[in-house]
Amino acid sequence: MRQLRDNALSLVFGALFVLALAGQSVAGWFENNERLAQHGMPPQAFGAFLTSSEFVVDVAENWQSEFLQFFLFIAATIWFVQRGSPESKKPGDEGPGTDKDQMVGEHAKPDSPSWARARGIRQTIFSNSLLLVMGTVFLLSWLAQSLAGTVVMNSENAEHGQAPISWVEYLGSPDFWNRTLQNWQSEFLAVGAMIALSIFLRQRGSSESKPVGLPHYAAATESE
Amino acid sequence: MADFTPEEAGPRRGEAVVFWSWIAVLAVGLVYMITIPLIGR
Repeated sequence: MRQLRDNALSLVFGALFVLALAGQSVAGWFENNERLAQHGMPPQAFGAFLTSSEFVVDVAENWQSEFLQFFLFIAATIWFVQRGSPESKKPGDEGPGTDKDQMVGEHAKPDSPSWARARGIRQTIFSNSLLLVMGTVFLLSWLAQSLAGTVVMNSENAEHGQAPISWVEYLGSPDFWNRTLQNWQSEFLAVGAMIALSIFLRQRGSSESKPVGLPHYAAATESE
Repeated sequence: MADFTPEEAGPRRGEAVVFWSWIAVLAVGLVYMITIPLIGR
């Protein structure tokens, strides 16, 4: 019980991810079989759909946009501020911060991570590790989207008697950029809205909001 | 007795299990999504 409560936030989102992915796979399977029927082709088994590029391209296009969202959010909040937003540092605090503020090198505490105490490349890597991992997942997801999108497009081309295209040709196709940008626009809108709306709106009890009684002009960090 | 572990109690295995489980989900998912189109499925 203690373990569940200590890690409840991760577990809740892990469960939501599994349920949503399962739902997407079933809905996508039905939709794909409807499309096959319209072309006079036999339905595909569920297992075959799960291991198809049709399923992968739909999953990957959402993965890449979500990780791009967090990559940019993490990177932008180093250098840009929004006065009054709990998602932002205070104006004047822009930049990577001093070693003292960040508790690295000689300013590390006894229980600081060892790579925070280390110097040189290890400290640089650890100091940027969240951004590095989010960026890597974004790039690999985007790669997966482009590879699977090429296979799907060539499958559709074959159904219509058209010649296959290369991966490089697909990277310049309207399909690739439509799938990409339709996801990016919604991520940027949601992040911008979260930053701006949280200046004047509150959610009591949420770590994503400043305390209800804090002035609109203040960021949450100023109340501590 | 509280049924949660306060921060002052120091690190616990649970948060490491959570961290590496999410890394595993991401790694497996990415390998899967890159492999499927590469084998032409």
